Amino acid sequence: MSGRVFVVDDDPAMVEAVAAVLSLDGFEVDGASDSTAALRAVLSDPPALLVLDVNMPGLTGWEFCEILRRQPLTRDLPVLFLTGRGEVRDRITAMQVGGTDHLTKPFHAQELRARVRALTAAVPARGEP
Amino acid sequence: MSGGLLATSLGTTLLGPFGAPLRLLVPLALTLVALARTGGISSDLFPLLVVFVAAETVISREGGRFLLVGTYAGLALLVVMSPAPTAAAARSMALRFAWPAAAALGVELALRAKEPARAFASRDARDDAGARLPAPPLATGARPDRDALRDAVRDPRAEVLHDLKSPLTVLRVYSDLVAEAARRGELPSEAHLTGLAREMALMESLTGMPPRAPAPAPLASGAASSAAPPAPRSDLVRVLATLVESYRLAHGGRVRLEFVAEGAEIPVAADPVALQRAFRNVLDNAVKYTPAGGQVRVRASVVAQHAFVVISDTGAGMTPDEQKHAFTFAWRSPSASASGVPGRGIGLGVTKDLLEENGGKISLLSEPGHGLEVTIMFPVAREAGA
Repeated sequence: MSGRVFVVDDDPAMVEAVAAVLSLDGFEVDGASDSTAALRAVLSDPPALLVLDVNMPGLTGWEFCEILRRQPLTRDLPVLFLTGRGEVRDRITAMQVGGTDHLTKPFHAQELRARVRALTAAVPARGEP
Repeated sequence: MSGGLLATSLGTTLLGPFGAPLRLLVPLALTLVALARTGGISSDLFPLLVVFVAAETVISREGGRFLLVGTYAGLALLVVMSPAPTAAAARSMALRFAWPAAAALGVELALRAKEPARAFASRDARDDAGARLPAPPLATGARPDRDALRDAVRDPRAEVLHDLKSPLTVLRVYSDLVAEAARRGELPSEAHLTGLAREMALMESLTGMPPRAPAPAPLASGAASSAAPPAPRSDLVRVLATLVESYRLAHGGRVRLEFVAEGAEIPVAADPVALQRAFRNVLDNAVKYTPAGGQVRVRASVVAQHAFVVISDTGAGMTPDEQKHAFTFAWRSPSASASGVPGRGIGLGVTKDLLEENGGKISLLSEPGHGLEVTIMFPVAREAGA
């Protein structure tokens, strides 16, 4: 058991896929495709790590992260951006709004697992290279 | 002091992005005419202007900004066209400029402070089409402003890339999981294989490739057959139940989703992936355009050997004219555009094509203000297991 991860992506298939990957490492994964509902859920019960898409209807991931950084409970919550926006300026923006790490789509499951483990300081999982 | 306040107000106002010229010209013309008819700068019109500007700012954030720009420009023109003012008159004029600007600015700032989330989400993405893609500042520690963040994300190129990269990512993730299991000498999980097959089919349908056999082939199914693939067959109840459940998980906190099926199974001769895409498009719209606290209902039934799926919502609905254009590719109604809900007007057109390719039909029924009802019809498949 490595803690609870919350995944926010407007594509439910993406939430499901990320959950499938992270559950291999024993993470409990919650998810939402509606960014506003997700914000309420995260603020009321902060997870160990937030995995956040950027392009979403309503609140974008960057805006979502900015709001979290203004709240005492989520100021230090690790946020991993998963996004198709991979340009240097996008990665810089991700950091400027308070993101902890950034992974560009399409990514490999192993890389996602490695980054999540690093961000949550979890031990390597069985069979991982 | 007044001049500084005015400069601050003007600066804040002008930071807003420019859009339709009419929204600037109309208030400008109105201001000029109204001031000229009521005695110019020394008239009693200013209190009215203040009320107008403040109300407009509250009602429509962008409209308020444009109106402010128009108001200032009109007043400036009036000043230029008037005889040279004395110092006292100039001071009086500056004071008159300052207080309506301060009032409007106060309302703007109060709104932003109270509702940061709404301020972020209130603008229609379409207004950003063709807008500049702002480069976030590179200086260390600098934070990009809200408009820059919003504009960068809503860039149409970014949206198209997002639509393409998401299914590709899901595909890669499931492939990795299957490969990882193989490396460990284990059989891949059924869920991962299903996810892989589903996303592969979705990618193929997006790229226009002919659909393969719809069901994901388990590894233990034996040698591939050279016979023609079986005709596609789907169970509407199963497809809809899964979809509604996923939407309930994603949006259940905001909108109530209900699914009612008459019967445990409703077989139709249609590709399940195409069905899933079609229903997903309709459900997306229903959820997007239904306000918080509203309801989306999905009913599946069989009448005279025809399966009917009715998806109704309690959103704003469509006018008859909007219904006429609803299936036109890339067409968006003015009310949808004005609603601030992101979209490109593609979903329903694609849905109609997908359904008709699979023997289905789709129709709309709506009264503005009373939600939208989408009815989808299929002939029921004759033989179970065909």
